[in-house]
Amino acid sequence: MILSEKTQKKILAEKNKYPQPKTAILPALYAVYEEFGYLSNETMKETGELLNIPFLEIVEVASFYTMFPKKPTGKYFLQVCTNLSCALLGAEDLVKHLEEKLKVKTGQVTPDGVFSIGRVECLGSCGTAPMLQVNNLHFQEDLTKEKVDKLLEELKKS
Amino acid sequence: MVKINVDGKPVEVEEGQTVLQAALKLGIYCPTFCWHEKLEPIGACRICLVEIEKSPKLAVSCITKAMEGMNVHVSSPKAIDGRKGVMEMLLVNHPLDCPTCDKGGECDLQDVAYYVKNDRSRFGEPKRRFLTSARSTFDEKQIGPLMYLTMNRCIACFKCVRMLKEVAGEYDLGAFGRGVFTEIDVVKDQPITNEFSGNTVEICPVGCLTSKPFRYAVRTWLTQKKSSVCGFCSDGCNLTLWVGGDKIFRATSRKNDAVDEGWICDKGRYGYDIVNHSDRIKTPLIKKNGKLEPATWEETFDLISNKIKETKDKFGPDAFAGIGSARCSNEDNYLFQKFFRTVVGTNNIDHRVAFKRLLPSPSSSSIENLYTMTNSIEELEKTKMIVVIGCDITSEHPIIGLRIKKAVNNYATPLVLINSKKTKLNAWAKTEILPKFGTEVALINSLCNAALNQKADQGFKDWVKTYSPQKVSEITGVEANAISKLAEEISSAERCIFLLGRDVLSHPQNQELIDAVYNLAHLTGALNKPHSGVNLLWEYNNSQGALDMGVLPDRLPGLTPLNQADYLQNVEKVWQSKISTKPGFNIHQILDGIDKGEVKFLYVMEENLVSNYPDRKYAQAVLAKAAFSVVQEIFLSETAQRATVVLPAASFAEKEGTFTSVERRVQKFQRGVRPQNQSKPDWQIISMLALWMDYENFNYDSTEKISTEIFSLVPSYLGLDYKKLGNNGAQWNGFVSKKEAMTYSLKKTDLKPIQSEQGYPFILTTGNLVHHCGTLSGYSENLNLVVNESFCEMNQQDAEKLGIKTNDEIWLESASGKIKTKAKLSSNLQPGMVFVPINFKELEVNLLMDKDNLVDWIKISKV
Ligand code: SF4
Ligand code: SF4
Ligand code: FES
Ligand code: FES
Repeated sequence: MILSEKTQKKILAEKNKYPQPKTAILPALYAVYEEFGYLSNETMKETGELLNIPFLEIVEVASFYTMFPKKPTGKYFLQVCTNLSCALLGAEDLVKHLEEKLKVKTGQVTPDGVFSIGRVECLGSCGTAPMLQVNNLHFQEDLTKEKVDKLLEELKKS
Repeated sequence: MVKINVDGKPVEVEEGQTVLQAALKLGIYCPTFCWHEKLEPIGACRICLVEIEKSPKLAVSCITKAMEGMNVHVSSPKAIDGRKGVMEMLLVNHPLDCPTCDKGGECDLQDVAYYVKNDRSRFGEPKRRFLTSARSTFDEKQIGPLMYLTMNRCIACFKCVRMLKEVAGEYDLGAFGRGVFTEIDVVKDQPITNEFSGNTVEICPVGCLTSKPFRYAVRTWLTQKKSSVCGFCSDGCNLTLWVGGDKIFRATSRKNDAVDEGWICDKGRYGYDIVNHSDRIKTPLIKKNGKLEPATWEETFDLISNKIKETKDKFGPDAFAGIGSARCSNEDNYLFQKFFRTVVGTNNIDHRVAFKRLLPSPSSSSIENLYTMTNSIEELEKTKMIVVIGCDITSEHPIIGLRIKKAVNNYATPLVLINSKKTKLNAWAKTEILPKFGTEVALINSLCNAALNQKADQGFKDWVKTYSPQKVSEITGVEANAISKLAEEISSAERCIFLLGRDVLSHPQNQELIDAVYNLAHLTGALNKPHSGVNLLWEYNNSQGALDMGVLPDRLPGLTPLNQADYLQNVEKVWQSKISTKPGFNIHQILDGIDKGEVKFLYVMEENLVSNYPDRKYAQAVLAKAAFSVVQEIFLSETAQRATVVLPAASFAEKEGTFTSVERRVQKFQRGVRPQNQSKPDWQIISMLALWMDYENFNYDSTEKISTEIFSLVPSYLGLDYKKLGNNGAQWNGFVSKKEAMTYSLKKTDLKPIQSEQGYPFILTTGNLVHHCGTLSGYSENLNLVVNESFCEMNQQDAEKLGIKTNDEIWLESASGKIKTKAKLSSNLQPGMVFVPINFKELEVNLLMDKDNLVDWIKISKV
């Protein structure tokens, strides 16, 4: 298995939590994501084997959730919300700005492997739109181009 | 019941039924895309919007439950307007490539667009596009050997994936992504090949999923629809054949809720192309100087009839033998045996060519050897436990397999599988028991031992006690407490259906095994409880019918013994002929008879003896010795090639008649196309031949005339009406009642351990593949696109010991012969067992078989 023993254990623990084995797909994918930063066919196949759920169903679920990257991402994966509220408040400009600044397109990783850009559907933070999130973890809200620049600087440093 | 009004008309529906179902019940049309009668509704497409009084918004009728007193409007201006809006949205992204779309003329989207009559759209944006490549024009891709996907046309109703997951439990087509970019697709390197894949094409409302054989073959409005019945396995699915001229363009389901619920397997759906295969025999053939030469029907009838007279005069009627067919219709088989019993005057007839050890001929009136399916397919939903013994159900009986899955999924019916190998259905099983091949009888005895009660007398008790779980555990390799636990489960089941399949029928101890199961069923009450019983599943489309029609050496039609005086008299009166009461030769005695020179004249109707007899060399040798042989066939089979006279027969799609399915359902099938070339329906050939010989009572000018004779003579078929068999068929009953079953007397069925053979360590088992049926489907080019190569499945560890890997070429060798094939490693088989499909005539698997050894032992070596 490509999955580490730790991840395997986590997945198996999730499997036993729910009466419906399918319920464990998302938590299991989180565990995989945590280890690799993205989901590959191979890791999804193994997840299916561990959960005893057809590979196809794992891919279906994973494909529904845009927050799971299916390709390797940078150390910091910046996902810009481009749903309605954010879009109205300039999300597209932010994406363009990021692309120009980092010199990569959405979906690509910077050559040094530090950043990658993605889009994400509404994260429920419409009141503070536009926004982006870093690595499925940290929300950056009420964004402007300047705030984005500052964020990039900070991340580069850490 | 709930009372509601739809468009002002009152209607009552069951609690839990939807508003849509209420409308449909009234015959009020309401468009739907994602709704399907047999699938859970999901309310995805919204085209079924209706107005419900006092409800602020339009309601999605397919997921809105009918509530007492509701006033529903399907046809109100508001509802119509709502549906117009939905249609406008659906067409935002739909390519509207109707002129080149194969679905044109039978597309739900087209039909509903026409129905809502909205020819304006407010959306001018570019349409969503899934491109398979930057330069593609049609944007379609092949997703399996028989299927194409044109994703741009998809309206995301999810019927395709829902059908596969909910009904078939198959996961080779999925819905990926989300929203408007949801994509139906297969996963990488996994083409769609499941045996029910074709149903997705049939239920796709648009031209997104199409089948390779049918796409762009014809416009549907140029075809005619014929009601047919599948000619492959015995499940008896109802088909519609779409024909034009002399060609069959496709087969689709023709819903019969009792049988198939509108689903069919891919053998039935795609195997129709055997009919138009170019290898069909074109004219009658007569062997001259060792070569089969074309002849006219007159010449052949002259030759055959003279030969019959001559042989009969010289050697008497018992110098004749006939082999009928589990593939031919009841009418064909009925006339065949009538011909032999009256024109010739012998009982030397049989059709059970593939079995080494023949079961005694069945009887329809005694519980002792009622070798049939005593329950019905529908009852699988009503029983409380299903026990499958010796059958790879998914491959042999796909539609029964679906019903079992339904029972497990919808009613949580516990499924027990007792098989010497693992099968696809094991994923649905609550209990899997894997006895060593050949020890099944001991296992069942042991279950009887654990289930003993006052129904057994002391003698039986004492005997069956010798099959203690501990001892039997050693013999069978099944854990002792698994045996006790299973016995407990079966005994306490409120109802229980036992299904016995191919591996029981061809088991070296077939009769003992069936009897043992009867013992168990009797002890546990399954013989007399409702929706319970022992069921023997015959293999082919008309296996049951061939038995019923009396193509047996010791049974008249209706499984009646030859010497049952009152019936015999009746038959003799109708047939205007004396009938011999001397039992004739069975299949093995027929071949021995030819071998010894006693049988001079052999007549074979649609049975490939050489490929199907469990001893190829012997079958070949015997055919070479036959003084005169007539083979009536569709293709120039290995058997036909050896005949003196070959008669071109019409396939199931070129004639009409009735088949009797595995569950005793007599079903009528219509003629699809004219008989190809010079072929004729089997019944017609026989009737013409008899007339040629001046037997006036063979003057049948239609199938209906024969059926009518059957339905007025054959006990279990009495009272059936040919005209009324059209839609759902009718089951024959009339066998022992549940009460009589109580009189069943337990039998002592001892295990006879199989003897190993020095130097040949593997047991050969055979069967059908999921995509094939017997040797006939091998002529289907469509099915061959899915699988066309034989193999030998063997246990992984065995293979490793021999240094064999998957796809390695290997020799299979028995004392009788040697064949070459490819290895396929598997963990489904126990060590010491191999499985070879019978479906590929190139792989002459019966070369390895010896009719006198009940078990075929082989050795394996790498090429
Ligand atoms: S492919 Fe056809 S059946 Fe499947 S979701 Fe699309 S439109 Fe529906
Ligand atoms: S092969 Fe059997 S299951 Fe398949 S369509 Fe024909 S009758 Fe039905
Ligand atoms: S639209 Fe961006 S957070 Fe809701
Ligand atoms: S048919 Fe009702 S929502 Fe699709």
